[in-house]
Amino acid sequence: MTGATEATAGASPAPEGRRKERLDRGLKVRTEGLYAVNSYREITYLVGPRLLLILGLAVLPLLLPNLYWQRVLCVAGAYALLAISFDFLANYVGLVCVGGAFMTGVGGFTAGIFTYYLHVPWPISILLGTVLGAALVTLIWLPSLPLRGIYFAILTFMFPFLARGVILALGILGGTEGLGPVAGMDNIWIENYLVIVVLLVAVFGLRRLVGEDAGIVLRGVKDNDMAVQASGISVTRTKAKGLFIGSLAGCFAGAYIVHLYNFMGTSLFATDYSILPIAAAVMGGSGTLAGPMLGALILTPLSELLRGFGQLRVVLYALVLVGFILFKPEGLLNWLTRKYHQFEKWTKV
Amino acid sequence: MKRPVVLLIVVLVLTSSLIIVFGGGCGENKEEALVIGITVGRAAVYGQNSELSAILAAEEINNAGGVNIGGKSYPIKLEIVDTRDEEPGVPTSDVLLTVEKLLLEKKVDAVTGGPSMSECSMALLDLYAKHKVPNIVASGTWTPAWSKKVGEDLEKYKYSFRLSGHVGYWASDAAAILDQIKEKFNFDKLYVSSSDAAHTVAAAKAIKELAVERGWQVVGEETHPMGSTDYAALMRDCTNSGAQVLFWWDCKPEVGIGIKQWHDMQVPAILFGFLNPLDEATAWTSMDGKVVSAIQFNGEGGCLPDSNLTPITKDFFDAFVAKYDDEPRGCGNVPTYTALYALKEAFEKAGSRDADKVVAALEEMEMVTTGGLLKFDPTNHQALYGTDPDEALVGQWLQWQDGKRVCIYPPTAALAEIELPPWMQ
Amino acid sequence: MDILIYGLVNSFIYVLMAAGFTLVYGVSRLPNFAHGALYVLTGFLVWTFVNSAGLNYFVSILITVVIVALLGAFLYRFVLMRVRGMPVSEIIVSFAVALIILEGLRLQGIGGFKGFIGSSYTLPTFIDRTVSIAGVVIDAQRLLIVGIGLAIVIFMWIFTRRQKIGLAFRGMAQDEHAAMMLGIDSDLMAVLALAVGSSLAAIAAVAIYPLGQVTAETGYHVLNAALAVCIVGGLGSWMGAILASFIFGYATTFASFMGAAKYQDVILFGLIVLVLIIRPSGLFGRQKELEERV
Repeated sequence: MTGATEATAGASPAPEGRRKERLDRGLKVRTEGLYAVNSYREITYLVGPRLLLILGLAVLPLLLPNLYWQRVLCVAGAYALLAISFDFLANYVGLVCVGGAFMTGVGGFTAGIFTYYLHVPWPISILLGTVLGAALVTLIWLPSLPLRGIYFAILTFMFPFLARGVILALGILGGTEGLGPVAGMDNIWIENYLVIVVLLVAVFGLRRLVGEDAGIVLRGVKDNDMAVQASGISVTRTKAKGLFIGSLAGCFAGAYIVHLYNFMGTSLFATDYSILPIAAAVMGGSGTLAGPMLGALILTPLSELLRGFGQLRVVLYALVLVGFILFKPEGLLNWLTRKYHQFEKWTKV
Repeated sequence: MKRPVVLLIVVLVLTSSLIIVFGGGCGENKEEALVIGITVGRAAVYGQNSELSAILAAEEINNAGGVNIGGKSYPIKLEIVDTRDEEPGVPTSDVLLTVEKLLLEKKVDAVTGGPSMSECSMALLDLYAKHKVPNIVASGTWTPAWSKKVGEDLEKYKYSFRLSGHVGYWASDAAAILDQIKEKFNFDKLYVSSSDAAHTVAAAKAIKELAVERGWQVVGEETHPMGSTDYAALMRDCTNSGAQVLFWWDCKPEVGIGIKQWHDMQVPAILFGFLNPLDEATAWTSMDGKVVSAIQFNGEGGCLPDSNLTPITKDFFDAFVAKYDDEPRGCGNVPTYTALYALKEAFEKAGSRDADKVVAALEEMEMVTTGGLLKFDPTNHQALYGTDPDEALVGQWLQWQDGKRVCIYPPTAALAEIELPPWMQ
Repeated sequence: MDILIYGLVNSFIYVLMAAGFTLVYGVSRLPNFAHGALYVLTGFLVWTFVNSAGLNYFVSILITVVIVALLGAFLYRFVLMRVRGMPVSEIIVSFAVALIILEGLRLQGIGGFKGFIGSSYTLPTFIDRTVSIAGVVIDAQRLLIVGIGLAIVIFMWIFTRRQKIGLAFRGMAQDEHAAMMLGIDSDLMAVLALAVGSSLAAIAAVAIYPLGQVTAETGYHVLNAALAVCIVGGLGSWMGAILASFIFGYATTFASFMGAAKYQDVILFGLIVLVLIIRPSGLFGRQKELEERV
């Protein structure tokens, strides 16, 4: 983000005759080379933020005051995974997917079926639900992969409703009343740390992936699919791979929620699972993968705090969202990254 | 620089709210008051009804000296939370999280109210079983599956009770009304319609079976999606089928369209069932009198003007009107109101806040309430419903006559006879 | 015969619901997810003017349509203008505005306000009587809907072909850059489009609400209907939207008269998915087919 967008965004209108200039910090420039490993200071500069994230998440469950907030953390973790999935698909594969609920639903039901009907232990069910669910989602969305932008968005938005309609019309999988109890984890520490570990794996794994060759191809599909096609790589196939990877995170969230609450029902396809992660991504900073996670970890507890306000809660929530998009469109993490790497000063024009 | 200031304010607000939440949440009110959690879905009328009645009951109890547990008096403190069930797009996990907030953070002694969506109440059973907190479902959740699930493993689900009725009871009520209609007008052709939700379909199925047993002929049936906006097909079908009674079970406000079409197309059949808009005390004026002669299930009894199910029925009705300047709607009001009194009674009898003792007291309870005599079925913790308010709770049915809601069933409480629509007379 | 007549009515209900949305999208490429919320707002505003302020029904309708049109213009000027061109942000912001309006209407307890919940809010019909056409009984309000729908279609047709502003609208819809080169102010056009689109939503609400109850939930329903129609018809295409309305209107009516009402929703969603997969640009969506869709 450059100074120009900042000014148009309206947060700080630039006064006449001077403008903001941003310069990289010396430390940042020094650490770009191989010699960074030579000094502790530079190593800290490089590793610091990552370590802070890992340690922060690791001690978070210990700091929470009671069981209720630990449960909130679990749910926030699930939303964070969905937000990462959205961010990855939208900014690295070029698929704006507004159907996170479809992933939670498919992943949740797949995992739930294994636990409820076949009495498979939960770790295996969650694993199966994640992988098979993601495969299923990819398969079902395969015909719609050629679509782009808002069209893909609207189509994916419809799928959860369709899936729900089918389950209700056929009266399978518990119909409107759902199925329960699904044997679950039943230990708050396992629940907390499972989601935290998966979150960290997802964030760092995906960040790694988008830097690799495969990631370059994925971004190529997003930015210029003609060029990718000209290189002899199938666009749809690449998109399908990207979708599979993205759905893994979403389907895990669904499988996890089923085992967290020992219950599965059509509400796994609820629109909140589609909308809230997007809000988190917008707030946290699109395209950073870690940003959407932070966004979800802030927004979910925030919405819990506001619960006492009834309908006002949704209104306030929406206001926060509008405010962020209008006045801080780059999101939290992009802003923080900039502050970390650069300093600003006013210069005369 | 503007930004740091804004940032500072945001941080301050966040930290202060965190302090309020974390500092205030840790059960400091445990000693002074009996904390009762009220779960309501504010977006739907059921939740609203529950909330109003809960506040009314708590005020009355507190004004009368509170709850006497083991010789000491405690006021009731309500913790009302919005479960957001019945809203589009809200996952059950969100509803469960709300209740966990009550159980884990507010440390409530008991929970009553909603949620009214069956899926949520069913999922909650396991949560209550895990945390061992007495709870009474008192708004909506009319699925027979609830009491079936509790009955199958009573030891595990023993903390859960249901004061709202279920579709099985209402279906047998409806069958008895069909008997009356058959006897009075010599009708025997029935058309059954419902929206496409599990509980409404179940209700339609139950009534169909009961009607056939009683010598009715089901000449037509249909199901439409929830929230349909055109019922012309249904009305035409019903007219053509020669049906004399149209039984219709639907719980969305949009069926108001259908009621108007029924009136405008002068469908020659008595409209009879459960339709959300007919439940409003203002339905006659807001729908230009097009509700005339419609028979409506008014939910758990006690919400109709001039009803005298038990000596205290009228007290509730008058107190409600005095406080809110509005007549109570059918569903959720009386059960929630009763649930609070039942909890008061149970805690007093138990003499402590021990969940098992409270459950035992609820199991043995026999109490005259607004809607009839309250007793729970020992095998599945469902409040017993019947036709005689001296023996059990009752559901009430009304017919719109002359701009008023008039009770026509059960016979012990009926204030008028069933009438035909003006165009059928 | 029943199917023919009621199908026509239901088709025009879809036309009315989608008209504002498709106009806005056509001119400014903005998916206005607050469309349904403006529709609901109209219902409650008219109700309030009639029942609380005691105004004449038609006067309140007039005032409300003007207010909602202004609101649409404000929505563009102060909110949507800043995010124009960023599809995800456009959707989120307009949907957030919809949430603010819809949930705000249900707020309770502030200043004794009870919140618009329940089914006791209705608007009176214009003419309360029924007519029989070729043996089919139908109420006057439904005929009126057909009339209003037709009037809007004809008005838009003339407007976009004869009026200067209308022509500018069309220019914007066809090629924004070329239109800007010819001196058409893109932002001004978008403000106008939002205003006209919002008033179309308001007119639709006034025409359709007397059939039933005014509830906040209808907002989501209307938005879904508008989206469905516009996708199948091709976003921003008038002809497409009308054709799609007729397909939906007749498909749902046919289903319910054939006793398969239960599957209405599945049919609807199935149709959308099918159209998007087979003919991604919709029935009539020619513009930017290559760049945006495939």
